[in-house]
Amino acid sequence: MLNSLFWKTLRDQRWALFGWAVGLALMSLYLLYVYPFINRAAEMMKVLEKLPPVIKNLVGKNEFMATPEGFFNLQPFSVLAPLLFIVFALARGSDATAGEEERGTMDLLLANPLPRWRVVAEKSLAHGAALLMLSLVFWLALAGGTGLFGIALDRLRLAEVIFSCWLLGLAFYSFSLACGCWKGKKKFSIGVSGGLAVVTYLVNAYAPMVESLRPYRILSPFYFYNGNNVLSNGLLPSHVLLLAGLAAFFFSLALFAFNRRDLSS
Amino acid sequence: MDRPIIRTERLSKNYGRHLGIADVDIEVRAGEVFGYLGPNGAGKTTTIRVLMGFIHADGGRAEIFGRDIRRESVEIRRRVGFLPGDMQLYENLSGGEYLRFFAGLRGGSDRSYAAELADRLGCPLEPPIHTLSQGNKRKIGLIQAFMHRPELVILDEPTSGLDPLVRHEFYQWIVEARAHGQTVFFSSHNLPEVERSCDRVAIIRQGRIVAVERIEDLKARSLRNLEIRFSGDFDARAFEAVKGLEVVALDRRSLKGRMRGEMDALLKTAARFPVSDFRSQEPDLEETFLAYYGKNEHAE
Repeated sequence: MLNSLFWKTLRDQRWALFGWAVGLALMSLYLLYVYPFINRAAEMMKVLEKLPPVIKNLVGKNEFMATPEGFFNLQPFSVLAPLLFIVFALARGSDATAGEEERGTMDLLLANPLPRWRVVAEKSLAHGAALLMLSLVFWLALAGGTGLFGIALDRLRLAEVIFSCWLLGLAFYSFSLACGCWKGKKKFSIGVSGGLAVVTYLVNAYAPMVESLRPYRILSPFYFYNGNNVLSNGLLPSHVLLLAGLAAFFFSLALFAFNRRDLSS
Repeated sequence: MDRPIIRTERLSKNYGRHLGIADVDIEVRAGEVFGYLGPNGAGKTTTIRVLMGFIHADGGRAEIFGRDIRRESVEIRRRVGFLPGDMQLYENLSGGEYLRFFAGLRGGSDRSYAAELADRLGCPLEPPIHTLSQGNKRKIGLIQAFMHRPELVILDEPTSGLDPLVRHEFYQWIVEARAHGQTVFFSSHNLPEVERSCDRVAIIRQGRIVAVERIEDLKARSLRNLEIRFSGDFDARAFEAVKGLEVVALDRRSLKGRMRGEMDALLKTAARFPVSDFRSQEPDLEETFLAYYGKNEHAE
C-alpha cells in the first residue's frame, strides 16, 4: 500500500477510519435501539406537539418523532451526521497540503517527479474515498439495523441522505483544502472552514423562522444537503449538482492556489 | 564535461522583509562536483528551493538539463536526487517503508541498491522513523537522494548532523558519483568540506555570488590563523621574509598571524627557534570572505 500517494494517504488514516467507522456504526445502532421507546412515549409526544412550530422547525419538520423518517431526520441527519462528516472532512482538508508543509515533509515529497496538482488530487481522492467508506459503513449499520429492530425506514432513502451528507462533507473538504493550499497554514484553514460551517448551518437552521434570513437559505450548503427532507421526500438532482459543483469549484481553487504559491519550508 | 547541467542567469528571489537572492549566475557542468558555499542565511537554501521548483523566482531564469525549471520541473525532478537542509521524514513509517514509498513515486527503483546504501551507512531500516536519532534520519534522507542513481544530486548541507565516520562515507559517495559521471551540487558553510570534495565552488554572500573558483585556486589562497609559542627568545625579523604571512600580534615569546598558501617556509623558519606550541586553524567563513573578497564586494 505504499506505491502511490493515494494509497499512502489511505494507509495513514487506517486506524482513524476504523475508529470513526465503529463510532458511526454504534451511534446508528444506538439510535435504532432508542427510537421505539421514544415513539411509544405518548406523554412525551404530546409535550413535543405543543412546542411552537418555530422550535420544531429548528430541529426538523412538524412530523418529527412521530414517524421513523421524522425521528431519523432529526437525529442523526439534522445535526450529528453532518457535524461528524464535516469534522472528518475539515481535519483532512486542512491537513492535506498545509499540514504536510507545516511538518516540513512537503519538500521531500515534491522532490519526486510529481506535479503539484497530483499531490492535491491524490490526497483528495484518498480522503474522498475514506469519507465514502464511512458513508457506506453508516448506511450498512442503519439499513441493516432497521431490519434488526423492525423499523420501517426506506433503505434507498437512507442511502440518498447519506450520499447527500457525503457530498456536504466533500464541499467542506474542498473549501478547507483550498484554504490550506492558499495560505499553507493548517490553523487558518480549520478556523475559516469551521467558522463557515457554523455560520452556514445557523443560517439554514433559522432561515425558516426568520423572515429576513429566508432568502439567504440558498447560500447555505446545509440547505442543499437536507433542505428537502431527503428521508421523506427523496434527493433533488439540483441539490446534488449544487453540492458537487461547490466541491468541484473549491477543489479547482485549491489546485490553482497550490500550483502558484511558494511552498513554506 | 562542458555541457551545463545547471545554468542560472540573474536568478533573483525577493522575500520583501528578508534577504533572498539577487542576480545569481551559476553554471554547473556535467560530471562536476560543485560546491555552493556561504554562511548561514546567505541564500544557499533559497537558490536550491528555486531550482527544485518549491518557490518561484521573481527575476532571471534557470535551466537544469537544458529545461526550464518552472515549466518542466517534473521532468527535471525525475532525473534529480535531492536532500533538503531542514529535512523531515514521515515519522509513522519505517525507513524501509519510506524508501519503498519514494521508489514507488518514481515508478520503482533498484531495492537492492537502496539496501546496499543503507548497509554502507549503517542505517537501520526496520524501526519506525520516529524512534531514530537525527543522524539516522539524515542517513535515510541521503539514501533516498542517491537510490535511483540520479544524473544530478542536489544536496543542501548534506553532512550536518552526521558523525565523522558517516561523513567520511558520504565523501566516498561523492567520489563515486563523480566517477560514474553523476553531477553533484551541494551547499555547505564548511570550507574544508568543500575543498575536500568539490571541483569548483560558488561563494554566496548576502544573496549574491561573490566568486566562482576552481578548488585548486581556492586552496592556493587558503587562509589560516596561526599562533606560535616559543620556549625561549626568537627573532621576529626572521619571519618577515616568510611569503604569505601577515603578523597580527607579537610579543617576546609568541607570534600570532594569518598565513596564505604553502606553510613550508613558515615551518622551516619557526624550526630555527625553540617552539613550545604551534596552532593553525581555519578561520570562520565570514572572516575568510572578508579576507578574500572584502566587505560588500559583489564582483566575481
